[in-house]
Amino acid sequence: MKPQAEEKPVIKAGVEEKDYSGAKYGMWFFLLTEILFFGGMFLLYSVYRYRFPGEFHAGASEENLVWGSINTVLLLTSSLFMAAAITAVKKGNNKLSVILQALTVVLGVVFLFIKGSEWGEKIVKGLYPSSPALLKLGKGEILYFGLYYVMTGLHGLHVFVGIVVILFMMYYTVTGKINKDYPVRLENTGLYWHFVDMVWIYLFPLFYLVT
Amino acid sequence: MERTEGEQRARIVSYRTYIMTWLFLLFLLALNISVSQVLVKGITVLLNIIIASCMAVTNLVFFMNLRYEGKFLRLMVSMAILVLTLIILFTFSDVLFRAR
Repeated sequence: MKPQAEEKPVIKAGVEEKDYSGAKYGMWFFLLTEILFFGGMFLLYSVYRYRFPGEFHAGASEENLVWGSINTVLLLTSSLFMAAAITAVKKGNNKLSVILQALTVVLGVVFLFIKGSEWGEKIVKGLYPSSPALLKLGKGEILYFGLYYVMTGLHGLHVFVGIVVILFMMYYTVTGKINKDYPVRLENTGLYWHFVDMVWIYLFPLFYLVT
Repeated sequence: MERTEGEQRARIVSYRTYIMTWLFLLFLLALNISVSQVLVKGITVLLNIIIASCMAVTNLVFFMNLRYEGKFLRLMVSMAILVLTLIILFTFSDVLFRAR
């Protein structure tokens, strides 16, 4: 008897390989590394806050609660728009999805603008890393402002990256590369954006509510 | 319950669910700000972190749709959070009890 020929997988030329679960897991793995990345900084903040409670309170009194609260509302609302943009794509409404993604980008840009203004205010006062005015302050306040710039700066960088990625997603949604049959790129971008929002949810009480 | 890839891909979360989640997050934010302005210092920091953690979990479960992911992924995320919590606890036990 002739042995049965082994079945070989058919690879079609020009057809993009798609793996929904793989793409989702990949994004979650990346986010887990981000949790530990930001977690290390939160740990550093907590230890130094415990060591220098008075100086941290004094440093935090420089923060403007109103702007911080507005920024939090902006990010939470941008998360709503991002989540709704995914629903819109899954319902086959790419046009609405692009509008919602654009709104997410606008809110992200406003967030960065406000954050930049806050940095500007402090820099004008001479409170920036290694500045003569800052070096005259106590050890705890130097640490507070160092952590403030590093943590909010890295978060801001993540927001900026998120904005750039969403702009690409808008292009893919317009061209139909993101569609109701394969929305995983937009879903993963949403996961990233919500994660960035989540980091701010912790940064806000640490820098604005501890005065 | 384990969900198949097809089920996860096809699931469409309603706009209403997202709007309710957003409103709940705004409520928690207002609560967090109120707590910091009204309550006695010392307790507030702890309460601020607890409320922020509630906001983070809401974000994970409803906006990031972790509730629709498979068991393995949920376990993975829980493990990462557990590891971070343990690192924080061990470091603090060292900071609190080490002689200066």
